[in-house]
Amino acid sequence: MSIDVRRAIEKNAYVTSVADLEKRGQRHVRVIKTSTIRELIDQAVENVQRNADGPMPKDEMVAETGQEFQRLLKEKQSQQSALEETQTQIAHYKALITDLNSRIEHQENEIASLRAQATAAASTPVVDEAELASERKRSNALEQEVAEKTAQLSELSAKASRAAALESELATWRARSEEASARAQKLESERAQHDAETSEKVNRMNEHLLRQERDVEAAKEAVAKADAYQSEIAKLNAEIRTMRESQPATESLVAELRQMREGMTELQLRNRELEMQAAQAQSAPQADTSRLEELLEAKMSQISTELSAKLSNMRVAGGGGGAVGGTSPEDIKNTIAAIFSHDLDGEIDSNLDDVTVKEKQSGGIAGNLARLKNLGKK
Amino acid sequence: MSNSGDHEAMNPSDSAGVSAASTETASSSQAVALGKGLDVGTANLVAAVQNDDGGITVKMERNAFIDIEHDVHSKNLLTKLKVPYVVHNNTMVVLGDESFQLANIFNRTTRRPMKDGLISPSEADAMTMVRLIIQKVLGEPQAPGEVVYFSVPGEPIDSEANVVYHEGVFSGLLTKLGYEPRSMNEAHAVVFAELADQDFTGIGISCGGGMFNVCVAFKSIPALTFSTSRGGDWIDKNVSQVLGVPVSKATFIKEQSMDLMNPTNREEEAVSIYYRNLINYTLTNIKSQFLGSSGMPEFPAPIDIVTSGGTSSPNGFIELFRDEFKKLDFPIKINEIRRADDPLTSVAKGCLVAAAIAE
Ligand SMILES: Nc1ncnc2c1ncn2[C@@H]1O[C@H](COP(=O)(O)OP(=O)(O)OP(=O)(O)O)[C@@H](O)[C@H]1O
Ligand SMILES: [Mg+2]
Repeated sequence: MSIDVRRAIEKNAYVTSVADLEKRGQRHVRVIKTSTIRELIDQAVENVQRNADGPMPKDEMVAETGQEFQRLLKEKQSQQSALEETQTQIAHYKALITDLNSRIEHQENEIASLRAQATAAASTPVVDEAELASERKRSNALEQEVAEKTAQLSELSAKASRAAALESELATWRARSEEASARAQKLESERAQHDAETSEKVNRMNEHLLRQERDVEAAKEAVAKADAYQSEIAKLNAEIRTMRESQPATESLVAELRQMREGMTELQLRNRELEMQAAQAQSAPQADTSRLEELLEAKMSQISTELSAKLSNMRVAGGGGGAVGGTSPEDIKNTIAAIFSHDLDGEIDSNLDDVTVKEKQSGGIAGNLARLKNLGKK
Repeated sequence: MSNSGDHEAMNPSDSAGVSAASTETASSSQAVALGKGLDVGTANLVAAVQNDDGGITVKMERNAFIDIEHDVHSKNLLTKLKVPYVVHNNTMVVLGDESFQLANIFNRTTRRPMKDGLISPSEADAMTMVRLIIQKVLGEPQAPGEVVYFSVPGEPIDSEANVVYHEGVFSGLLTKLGYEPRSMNEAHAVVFAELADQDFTGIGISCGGGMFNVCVAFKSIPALTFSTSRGGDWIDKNVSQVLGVPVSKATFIKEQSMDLMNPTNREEEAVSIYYRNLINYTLTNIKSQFLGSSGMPEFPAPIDIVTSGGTSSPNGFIELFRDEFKKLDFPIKINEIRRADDPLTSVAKGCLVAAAIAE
């Protein structure tokens, strides 16, 4: 089957003027030859048939061929426009070359004319004094301006270096301040820790105090108990007293005892008197005194035997003795006797004479004595 | 407790009156200055005497002993080491400082003849040891009947203890040793030793092992004396209880060079707490005794408080004292609170002053 493409196009195309196209904003119009269209269609049909697996229904054939045609048409068109572009560029370059040629020519002419002028100038030098003066003035002004600018420049650069120095100083300070604040932070955390420790200490102290308070309570209880015992003791003492009162025998014994003691004191006094007399009268006969002494001794030993017998009787009878709590003058005497009783056994076995005790020297007491005497006088 | 405070023998104006002439004759005719001072303490026995250099010589020994088994080896060893011992009732008794060391070695406690400032009648047996220690520190009289002033505590306001028996026994003992004994209130002795520049006007406090003794004096005359039965031993006992350690360990911690104001551990904190409590107790008592007694002198100017005694020795004691003082509204105007230069010998020195005046 063959198609008359030209006729088909003419039959289907509409005619429009260039002006009309321009009116619609289309300045350029693509132009395609009918032979090309024909080629394109053939090509499209062939492509579709080659790609198909077998015989194709007509509709499908038409659609696919249409699409293939469009693709081929676009390809063709782009080839066309590339060609056109190249041609435009060629034309442009040609114009450029022409222009450059004419410019070169113009320059050559210029050079020639300048050469001619220079030759002429060299032969006839001309000095315009006024122009020279004004040139000098201008140059001086320029020089001054340059000097001023230089001064300004150096000032600016000095400022710049000072700014740089300040900048670096600032950096140092910033570093120091950072260091300080780090230190402050550290101290702060140390303080916090210390606070914690302190409060722990306080807590512990409070614990101690609490315990102590409890001790005090216990002590109070003990005191209360002691009071109870005390009243018990008082009661017992009262009982003892009534018992004693009901025993007139004890009382008479005590009276007797007192009498005996008095008798003894009397005898001791007499003894001392006699001793003194004996000392005074050194020539007095020895025998008298010794006989007296013998008598005295006999009497005293008798009294003391009786005394101790009666005393022990009284203790057995529950009389209690002289000292309640064992702190009477009698008890003191007994204690002293006990302390020195060991001397009777002979030498004390000890090394006390060979050892030294801690000793230190210190300031005198003259000042104290003087002050004290002064007070006494007042 | 007593307002007049002292016993006849120690009325200082009496002594001063008698003494002036006799002291002068003594110094012109012989080199030795007569009179001795003896501090009879729960912890220490301290004797003071004037020496040839115009100063004083102080001898001291711990008032403690321990008995150990009597055998030849121990005896030889103790003799070689010059550790004072005496054989008594067939046991060997080591006296004084060394008894503490032995107690530590044998893990025992020393025997201490006195408690809370006083001997107790039940310790009559131990008094033989006290006598031997006193003989050692005091020595023989320099002349027959040399005057010795010995310290006695004031009436305790917080116990029923009997000062009369205590005083009687020491008086008898010193007589037997050839002295003429006179007793003197312990805190009054502190006034004699430490308040001369204030004309013996102020408050003397002896902070001892068994008690604290207080004397408020006006121109050397005691206006108020008393004692409390709490001292260094009380601290030791409480610290030992609260820390669960032996008493000797508590004493050790306390006597280390610690600072009461800056305890560095649990142990030191305990010591510091009880110290504070003890000082507060004492100051509160002074205040109430002062307010409760009539006939207190009107002091024309603020007076000093001076502390002495072993218990006042640690660092920070005075600071702690001032601290506690500030908390109280004290009825007397106080100028200065200070510590004696040598706290352990102050009482003996004061007794010596009284004796020298009397001789
Ligand atoms: N460096 C020290 N620090 C703390 N306490 C000390 C120190 N030295 C001694 N003591 C304490 O002082 C006390 C003994 O002091 P001192 O000798 O003044 O007492 P005392 O006179 O024997 O006793 P008292 O006067 O109560 O009868 C003891 O409790 C002892 O532990
Ligand atoms: Mg004392």
